[in-house]
Amino acid sequence: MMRQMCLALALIATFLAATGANAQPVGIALAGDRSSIYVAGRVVRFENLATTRGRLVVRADDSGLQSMLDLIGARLQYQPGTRFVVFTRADGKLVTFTVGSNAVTVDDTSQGIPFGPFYDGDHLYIPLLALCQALGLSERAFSGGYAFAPQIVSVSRRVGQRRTVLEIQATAPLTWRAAYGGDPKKPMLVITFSGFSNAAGNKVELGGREAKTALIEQQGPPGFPITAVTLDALHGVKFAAHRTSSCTMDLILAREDKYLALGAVTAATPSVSLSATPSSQVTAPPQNSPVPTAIPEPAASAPEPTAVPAPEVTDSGSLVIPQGSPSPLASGASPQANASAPPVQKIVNVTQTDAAGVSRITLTLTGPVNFEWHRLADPDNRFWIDVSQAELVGPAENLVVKLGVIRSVTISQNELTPDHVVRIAIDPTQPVDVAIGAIEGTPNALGIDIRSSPPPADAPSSGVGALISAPPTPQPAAFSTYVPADPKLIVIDPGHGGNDPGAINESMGLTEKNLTLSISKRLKADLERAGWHVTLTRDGDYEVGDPGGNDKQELQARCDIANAAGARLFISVHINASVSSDPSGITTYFWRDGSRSLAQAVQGEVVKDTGAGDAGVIRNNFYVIHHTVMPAVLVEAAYLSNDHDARLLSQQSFLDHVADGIAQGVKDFTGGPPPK
Amino acid sequence: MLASYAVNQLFAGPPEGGDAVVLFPRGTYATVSIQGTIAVVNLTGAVERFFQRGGGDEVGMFKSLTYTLTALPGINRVQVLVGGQTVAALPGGQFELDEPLTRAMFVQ
Repeated sequence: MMRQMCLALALIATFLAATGANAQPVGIALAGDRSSIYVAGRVVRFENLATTRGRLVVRADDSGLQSMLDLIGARLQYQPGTRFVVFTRADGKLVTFTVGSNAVTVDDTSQGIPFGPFYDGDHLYIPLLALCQALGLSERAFSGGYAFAPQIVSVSRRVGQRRTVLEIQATAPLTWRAAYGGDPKKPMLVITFSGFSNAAGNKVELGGREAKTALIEQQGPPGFPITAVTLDALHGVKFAAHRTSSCTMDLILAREDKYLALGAVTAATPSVSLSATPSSQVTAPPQNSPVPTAIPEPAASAPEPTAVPAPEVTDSGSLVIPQGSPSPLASGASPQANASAPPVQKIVNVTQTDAAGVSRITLTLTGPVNFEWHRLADPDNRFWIDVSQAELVGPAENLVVKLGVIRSVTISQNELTPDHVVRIAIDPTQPVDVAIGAIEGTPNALGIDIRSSPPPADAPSSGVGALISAPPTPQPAAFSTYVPADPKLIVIDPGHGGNDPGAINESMGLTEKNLTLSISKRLKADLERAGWHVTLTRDGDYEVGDPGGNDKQELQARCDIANAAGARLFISVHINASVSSDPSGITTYFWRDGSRSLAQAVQGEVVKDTGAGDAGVIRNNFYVIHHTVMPAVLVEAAYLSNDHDARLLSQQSFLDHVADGIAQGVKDFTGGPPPK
Repeated sequence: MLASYAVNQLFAGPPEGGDAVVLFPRGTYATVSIQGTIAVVNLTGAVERFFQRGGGDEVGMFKSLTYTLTALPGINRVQVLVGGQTVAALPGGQFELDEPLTRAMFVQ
């Protein structure tokens, strides 16, 4: 240990020498700076912001620095008087500055900066721009200030069998909102992210099944950059957004709920990368996670107020593209032309709450409704929302809104229209930002948030939306409730294949991928003789799924074959191997408790049939037995790394016994296939 | 950092002799960073190539890694990255890695 510590110290010493860290900058002239700093869309107030050599610097003990780090989930580790200033990003990367050194290190990668942290008297100052860049934020200067925000570095498309997936990759966590736009005949889904995009201006072809194109645009005021992804989704298409890691999201479009879940279906065609700038940076946790309300505009909206019925913060959300008016909003239904008008819903309650800079009006309804909204241009600025097929219970109301910029808000039944329309009219003294959407967690509640801040300069002047009962994020059915769609079908998964050989015993000339296929083919024949239908995830030497797919797609594709078919059982066949030649025998793995007895049945019969050692039934999180929804096991049939086992594996009769044992275990567990 | 030291000792194994084996492929490197209560372990090198052993070793690798790091104060989860990326499993592997690992996951 001592030797390693000495080495570490030597390395640090080398680093210091190389970067000239012994010299403190001289002649630093600090001048107070009053620039406005926006971080991830929020104004951060610094007490000790200064400029030196034309660049912003911030004092290490400035509470504004702490606020900024909190916003992006980073932490500062610094002991006064020491030379190293270390930040931990939310993604775990370490950002290391050395006092006086013109370099910053992010994990192991070092890059030059104009100047590093320096002391002025007892106070340590840190260069702000270099810091933000090292933290994964992009920066834009505008008159009077700077905006630091995450950047979307790539938007790529993945087409699955029954869905379209847009993968969004950013340098820091994104907050997002979804909204409807366009007109009822040509609906659009607009997903807005807080942050910059280097993919802006791109138009992405989406194949036309769930949506035709995605347009990526940079919007928002200078301090609050917004990237809008506008999808001209088709009627009846549903949308779900999932955070797949701290800095990546999947936007999924599909017509059926079950395909909206992450990893629900195989990626059947190769990915198409649109703006293939691989992210070299990642960071930070979800700060104020977005509230996935359905808002009808890509509004530069501040995070949700904490007052009012606070919707639950979530990383996923979903919406349904409203179908052509006046068809009903049954979720998941395909387009229905000329459907009868939806039933009239009653507005049974109107409440209004105020928080700093925002007022929320909440309409409680008896069911789903459509609405449209309009905004008049400055200086008129009136804004109204017409809720169709709705009836206001009680008289028209004049709501008292505390926002100083609002003259009046009225809600009334619009008697002039033959339809049942309830109008909410907002009369402001200046342009206001209005967001309309479902309040998650409160069924049939439509929220209207009025903010005193102005809307983005290019905000649309009208739009449509719908209040639906938000469908829960679909999850694969738990085994306990699993009912196989095809109760006669068993899916067998021969492990590895193609360029992935699995384990190898070179001296015996044995390769796992060939052995697993041999066992699986015999098992298929056994089970078919017993009356089962059998599908192999592969019946030759190839990778399952998209040949260009990554490991996850490959493993998921195996699961998808069983999940999509609604199979009764899933059996994955592998051969074991260890770095040690000692371990031997058969092991059967399961993950969910509901698969334990299948594993025990299979293990018992294989051991009995082969005479090989019993290495046990073990619960472990292997991908294919976790992401299949039916009872699933993974059999590791003997060790290629053990001389005795390898000799067994070199005999076809042993492989056949493994298959026969598994088939017997299936029979023990199921009692045989159903009669029909 | 103690976490990095612990992982590198795990990869190095005992000094010499004995019955213990090193489960991680030789030539595997790790950088560890702490994110709240999660130890983020970025594995590079040999593990980025196809894993050519079976489930027993694979589970043992990640169980030893998880138990080592969660033995440190304040750490209760371990997120494994391979080549800087979150992955479903090692290349050619089966053990799921896309969610943080906990000791509870290894309890039978």
